[in-house]
Amino acid sequence: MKCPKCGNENQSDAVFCDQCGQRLAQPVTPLPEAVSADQPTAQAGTCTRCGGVNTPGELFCGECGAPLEGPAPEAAAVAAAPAVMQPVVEPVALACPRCGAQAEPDDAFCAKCGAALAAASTTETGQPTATVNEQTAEPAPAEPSVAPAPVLSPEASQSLGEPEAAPSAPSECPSCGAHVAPEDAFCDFCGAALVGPAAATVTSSAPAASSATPAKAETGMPPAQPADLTATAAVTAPTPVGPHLFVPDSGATIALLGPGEVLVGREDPFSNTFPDVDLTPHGGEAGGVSRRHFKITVGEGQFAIQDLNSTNATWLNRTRLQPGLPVALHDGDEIRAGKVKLVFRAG
Amino acid sequence: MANELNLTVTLNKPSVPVTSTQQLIYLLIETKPNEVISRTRMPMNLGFVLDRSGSMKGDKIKRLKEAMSLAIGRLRPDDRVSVTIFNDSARVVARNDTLARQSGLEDQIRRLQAGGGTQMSRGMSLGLREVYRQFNEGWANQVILLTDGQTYGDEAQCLKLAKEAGEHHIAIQALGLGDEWNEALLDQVGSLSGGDSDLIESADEVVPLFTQTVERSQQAVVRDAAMTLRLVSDVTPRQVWQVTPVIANLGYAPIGEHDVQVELGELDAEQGKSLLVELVLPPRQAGRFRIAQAQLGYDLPLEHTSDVSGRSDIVVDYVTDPALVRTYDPTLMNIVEKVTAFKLQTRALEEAQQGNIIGATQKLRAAATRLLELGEDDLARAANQEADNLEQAGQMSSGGTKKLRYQTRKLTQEL
Repeated sequence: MKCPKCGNENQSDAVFCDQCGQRLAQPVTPLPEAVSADQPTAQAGTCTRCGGVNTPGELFCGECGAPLEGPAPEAAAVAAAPAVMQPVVEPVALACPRCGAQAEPDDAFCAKCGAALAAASTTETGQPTATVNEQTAEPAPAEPSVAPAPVLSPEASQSLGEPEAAPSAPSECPSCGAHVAPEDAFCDFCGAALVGPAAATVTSSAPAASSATPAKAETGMPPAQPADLTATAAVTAPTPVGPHLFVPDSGATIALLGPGEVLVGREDPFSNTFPDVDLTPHGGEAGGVSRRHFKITVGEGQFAIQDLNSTNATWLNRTRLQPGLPVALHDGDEIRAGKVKLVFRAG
Repeated sequence: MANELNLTVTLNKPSVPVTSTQQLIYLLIETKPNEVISRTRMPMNLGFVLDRSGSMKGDKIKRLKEAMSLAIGRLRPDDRVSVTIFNDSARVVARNDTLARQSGLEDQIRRLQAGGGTQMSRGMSLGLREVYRQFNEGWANQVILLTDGQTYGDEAQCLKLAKEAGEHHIAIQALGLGDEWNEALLDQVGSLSGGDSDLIESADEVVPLFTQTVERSQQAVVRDAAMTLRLVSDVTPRQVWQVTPVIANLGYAPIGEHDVQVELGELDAEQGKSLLVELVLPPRQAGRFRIAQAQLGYDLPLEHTSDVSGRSDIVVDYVTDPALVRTYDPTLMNIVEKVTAFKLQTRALEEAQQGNIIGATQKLRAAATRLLELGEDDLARAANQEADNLEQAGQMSSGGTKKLRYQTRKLTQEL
């Protein structure tokens, strides 16, 4: 931003000229009108004394020095989670999870951007993909616009308090999906906590999905118990008639009532979100399930799944779904919403 | 991983609201030497360069003699010391030698007489040569320069010498006495040489400030310290302030896609240094996020080693519950207020110099309000007085300008 007074070129978000201190005419991010009352916005920091515009969170006016009321959040709020992050998560081996640059197999850090490369990469990328269905043929969504993770609700953060020693660290960030080294406490890319309340609850690895896929456990996860899914389902719950979701971790089954669209997510009365299928009892909260995570369209013997721009993405047979793009769903397909694994059964 | 220095990070609030806009957060980063380091003192190779021009007559030269005796009393027998005096010519009255062998030193100081003009570069040149003769990498090689006036026609030479001193790792601590000296010149002499500059308001203050300066030099046991802040994506630094020992805008240099480095220079054995970092945070959804990691690299000349501290994670909780956001750290609030007063004052002086009388006056009044809130009545009065001077006479007084300039940066010292 060019200073109107002295012509000095300042950073685009500068409020005052670095050179002469002139206030720079700046449309400081206007507060959106109140949309929903559940998310407070920091006060925009307009000085009540001189009208100077300050960054939210600032304690004193940059112009006149008057104290700004930092603490009190205004009623103005945001409804939709701002999509700020563009994590690059690609199931392509040997590429930097952050910048996508090609990496050598032995590299611990990306030569281009310096990001830590998942050293022990027996993650999705390393999995044999022999048995996955035709969806894998589709190119992986390159940069799904994904907002950072609500891995932790305020309630959860309060109740859980101190981070617990995580028995196993995730190999990918539950928030943005970037690959992380097993010993990292925080995601290198988005900074989300990988251990502690936010991530300590990494669910024990599900026996991999489709009966045909004897997939290896993910890094850091306990070894998968091979299980005959159908059998388990039969034992633990009355086998529902019609399409349903099977939760390998708990053995529960969730009927999908069609025809039409079935919204899967996490119930949140606070924001008035009541999905058809609530994954909260199935580890949805800790597993990073968005309130509106994905939907399944139930038709005449045909099914489709569509990610609803969820924070932690939806994975179909270990391929990340592009948000908003419906993809055919088949019996036995493995669905992962954040960290919660599900198996789709057509009938 | 060494533990000579402890790094502690405090946030002005541990949790921030989930917002759709960017927001600012303040970090207080304190570097504190451990107990062993805090007791060590640097061996000194100290050169005094003292102004004895005519204007020093009377009280000033009397106090200077007292101050010299006291300062020398702080040195150890094997510290090296030299004394150079100048007016319009310069003379070495005590050649560089260990204090134990400087038998005639007290006598020389007692015999100091004020008189003549001021040509500071001559004193600097001889004094620096004395220190350089016994230069030792592992010691504190310093010049303490005291003047009470303007130097005549040799400013450029003074700056050249200061720069050379810096290149040879001899820091000049420049002290200005009274209100007639050239602060722009002394500031530059200090910073070019890797030292500092300070104001001694009146003759009465010569003694304490002089001894403080000597002590500070002895305590500079950590050198070439630099802090690396590794920021996660979308987090950007706005400003980096040093808050102790004195307030200063440190600035930062990007050293990688996400890393910025802040040069800290020397660290004091007892106090260390603390920084106030203003970071602009991106919108995030609720959850716990690391926003940055801080790490410190430094040299310990006494041990002939370089080391790095552990990495400190700086973590913020984004919350949707406003009740959780309201926890503010009072210490940090106070520091931010002091830095704000300093910032307003600095901008006022800059604007006054550029001829923006109205802007400068407003800033001075604003600074006065902040100073008053902080209980700094004396400084608040000075700021208001200078605002009056600007309005009435169109310019600030030399003494008031110096007082504001050198004392607002010490606001954090009463902590």
